[in-house]
Amino acid sequence: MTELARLIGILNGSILLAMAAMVFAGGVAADDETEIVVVYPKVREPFAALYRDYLVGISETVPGKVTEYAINGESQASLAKAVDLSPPDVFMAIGNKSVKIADQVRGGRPLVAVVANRQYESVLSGGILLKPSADVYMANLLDIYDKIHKIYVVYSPEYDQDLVNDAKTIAERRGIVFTAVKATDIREAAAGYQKFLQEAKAYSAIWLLPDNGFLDSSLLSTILDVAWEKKLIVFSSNPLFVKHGALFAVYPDNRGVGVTLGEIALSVENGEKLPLQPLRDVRLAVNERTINHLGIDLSPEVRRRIELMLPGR
Amino acid sequence: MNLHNNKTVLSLLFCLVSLAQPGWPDDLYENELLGLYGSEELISIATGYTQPVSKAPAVASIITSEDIKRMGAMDIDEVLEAVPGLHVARNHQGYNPIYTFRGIYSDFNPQVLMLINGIPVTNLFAGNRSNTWGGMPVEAIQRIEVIRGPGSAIYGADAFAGVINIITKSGENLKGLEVGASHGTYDTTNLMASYGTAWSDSSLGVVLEASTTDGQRGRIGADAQSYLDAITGTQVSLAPGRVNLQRDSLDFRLDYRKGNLIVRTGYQGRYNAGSGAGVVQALDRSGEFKSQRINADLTYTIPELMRDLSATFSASFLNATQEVEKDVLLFPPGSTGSFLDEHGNPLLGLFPDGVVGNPEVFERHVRLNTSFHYLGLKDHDLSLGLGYYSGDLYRVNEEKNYCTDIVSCEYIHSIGGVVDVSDTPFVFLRESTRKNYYIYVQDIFNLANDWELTAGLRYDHYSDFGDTINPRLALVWSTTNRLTTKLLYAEAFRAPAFTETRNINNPAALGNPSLDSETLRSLELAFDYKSTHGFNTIFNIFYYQWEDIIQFIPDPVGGTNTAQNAGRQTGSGIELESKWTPRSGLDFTANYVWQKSTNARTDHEAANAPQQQFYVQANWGFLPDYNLNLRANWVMDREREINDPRASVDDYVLVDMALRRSNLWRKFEAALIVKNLFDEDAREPSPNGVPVPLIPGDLPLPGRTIIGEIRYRF
Repeated sequence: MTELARLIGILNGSILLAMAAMVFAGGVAADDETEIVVVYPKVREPFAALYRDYLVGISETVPGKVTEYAINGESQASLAKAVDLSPPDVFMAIGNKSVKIADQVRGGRPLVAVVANRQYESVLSGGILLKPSADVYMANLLDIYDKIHKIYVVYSPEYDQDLVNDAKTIAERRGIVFTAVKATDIREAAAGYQKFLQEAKAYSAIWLLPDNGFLDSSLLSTILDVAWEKKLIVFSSNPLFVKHGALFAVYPDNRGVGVTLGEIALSVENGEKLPLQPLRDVRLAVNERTINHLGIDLSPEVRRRIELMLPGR
Repeated sequence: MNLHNNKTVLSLLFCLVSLAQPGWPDDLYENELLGLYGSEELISIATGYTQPVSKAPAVASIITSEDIKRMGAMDIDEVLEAVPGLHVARNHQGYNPIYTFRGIYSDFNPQVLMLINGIPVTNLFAGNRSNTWGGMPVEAIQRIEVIRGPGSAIYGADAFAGVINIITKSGENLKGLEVGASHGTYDTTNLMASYGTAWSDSSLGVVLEASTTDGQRGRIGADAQSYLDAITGTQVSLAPGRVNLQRDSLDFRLDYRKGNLIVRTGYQGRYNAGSGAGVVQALDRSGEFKSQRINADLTYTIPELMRDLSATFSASFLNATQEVEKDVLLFPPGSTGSFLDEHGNPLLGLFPDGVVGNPEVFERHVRLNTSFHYLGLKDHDLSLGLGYYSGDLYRVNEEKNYCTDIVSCEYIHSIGGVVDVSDTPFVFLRESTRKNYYIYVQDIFNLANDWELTAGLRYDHYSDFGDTINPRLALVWSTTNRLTTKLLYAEAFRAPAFTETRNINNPAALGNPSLDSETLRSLELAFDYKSTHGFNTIFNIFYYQWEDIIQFIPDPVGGTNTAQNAGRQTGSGIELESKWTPRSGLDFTANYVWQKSTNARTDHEAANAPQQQFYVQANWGFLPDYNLNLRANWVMDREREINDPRASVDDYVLVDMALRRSNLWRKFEAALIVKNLFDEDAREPSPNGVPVPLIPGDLPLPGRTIIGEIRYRF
């Protein structure tokens, strides 16, 4: 038991050390530096790890004091109290729910955010919409397979009309045939995909837009199975599709998004209002098994950019 | 605390459930994020929270720190029992684990290689982890990778029946300060503290764990002394009596990384450790062992030594001890010991203080390894590695009050009492060293679209038993988008332990310096099916031949036994594992294995390993912040050795439960863990003996065990 007593001594020591470190780490920002309050939802791991990455990027960019509020039901009141006592220069919010909370306490100060849709765009001074822009998709597709001659997409005009228009312009400028089919429900979407799967020739591309709710797992299975048989290139912004056999996906680089968000915050500090930016800080997920099946050679430059090489099996 | 009442379990359960508060709708955020990444697993991978599983051309299982926490496991053995095709049996001495893969069972279990961060923890003495292993807590573990089947072409010696690689947490994995404590049945208390921090290009992680336990109190009906009592007329056996598994433990791990450099160090201390059901299967209430294991390793990676060429250098050190804290009683006070003539008359009279044998072993291991990875050839992924190992069993101490021949009897009786025979010819083992040089190459060759061949070859030279070459071949065919087919062939070797080559003064088990290694050849066919509906299943068929099995065989004259490469075993079987994740936060796992192995010398079914095992687990994350894990393990069909008079070992089903509530009063987390929920009388086989098994009633496993755990994250 002497060992236990020794251990408890060490434990107490390490707790004290950590507390001391916390006290010393909490420095005070100089008056002329931008003070920022970041509001983000308190969630469990691994979701919380995403927010930590945003915060790393934000802290790297913003020279002043960055105070974080991981919000749950109870801590909302303490946030209101704290910002009332010491109002920051800019509020930042991660996610729509946080935008709503920050908007209630910001007292007219600028609010920037990273959001998945445009629901609260009107209250924001600027921010990032977590949807890759058309040029990001097209650039990655061409980097991976530059001989692409035909792209098919089923899309919801409600969500993705602008994105598809931009992509069509870029594709046609490169001489790529771009076939887009509108769908307003899952039945129309399924019909659209079936038509594509029938007519598509090897090494044509099918672009899966994940945010329209059209892709249930049965339809996704069918698309990926037929794509495997016919050697079609399937790409998306959803890494899960890559795990199931799509060739590649672009997805948010959270630290990069944090850096960009920090830059936006600094530029709206004095009350300017900027439109929401599309997502440009992306990472690349590739299915190695599908790469081998299609016999595509990735250039060393592309290989270096791959963040997630999903396992072959 | 001894809680043996179902009502108590239920009321505790309800208590914890009633702590549920109206939850903040975290699901909203989670759904938003799931929309972006597709699944929680992908979020874990994308954030580096977990590492993606590398494409392993072997039948492998990965268990993450999250899986371990959900299970409520306190020791790796509880985690490993969930791996298909792996069953953890027990040795009578200290209840050391016998990791039984695919019917390959032996008392000391040197046929399984355990690695911590890729570095073997194998001891020279018995070829296992340690005879005073004392378990391994799980707080510092980031993930465990288990490869079933041989892996000598990469890992070298002892990657034989299977490989267990434990990866510990870095500062990046730990992030912040967390403290925790748990307390439960058998007066078991665990304390832990972990701290991790990361800077721009460096990180530091520290984990400290301590525990104390009285150990489970399983009852042994009759033991080796009961057998002697019947012959000699003494009445001194401690059986019926309880096993002695008390233990204090201290574990420390430190991980520092800067750029491409990783420095790690660790300490595992086991103190006041009871001998389980006795060193020679006679209960010992008072003997206490101690073991201290200190390790350090350093790894430096050069990602681009030249274009397309990376290199990794590593060096490691391990010092491991087996020490005695309180006299170890091989037989209890008043015993004659096992020193009887052919008529059962005592040769050395009675031992009023018991037969004392205090074996101590000290060993040191140094390893150097360099490996290169070249991607410059189209369709090839080439690896080359070379290394050096030096093992030194540098000190053997022994105290004893018995002797085995005229010369040693003269020496011991001339001094009297418990005599220190260290550095005399009468000690049980010779101090010795072993050196090993090796080189390996591997190529993953993309033969054609959908076809990949992995070919590996490793050459080992050993200072004490010569050379060995071990190949492996894996052909992987991406059959369809959902199905992958693998055909695997591998050979492996198991280095003889020093107890087998250098044991002296033990007539029942004399070492043989001219032993060869044991060898294994294995062929497997595996089908891996993954659907987009969250259903994955792997089915595989295996066949193996285990040759030159080292056994202690009676010598032609002198009534002694000497180690010989005498045994042969063949086996085949199937393993089926499925995982279904109907939605985020809910998953079901099931696996079933069947194996049949035959002792080729006796043409009898191989003993002790389960021929069938069925495992099911349900994991449910409910409300915000709650997780319930339920699992059941059914161990079936364990045969006895051909000349063992006992009926087959009884089957058992163990049901475990873990209920966890995180985000409690902001930073607390609490768990209620119940193992062996229905208090099943589960037993692992005790060894056979001639003329009778010494512990006829087998080795009892713990009854219902209830543990409460609390954690606080700063």
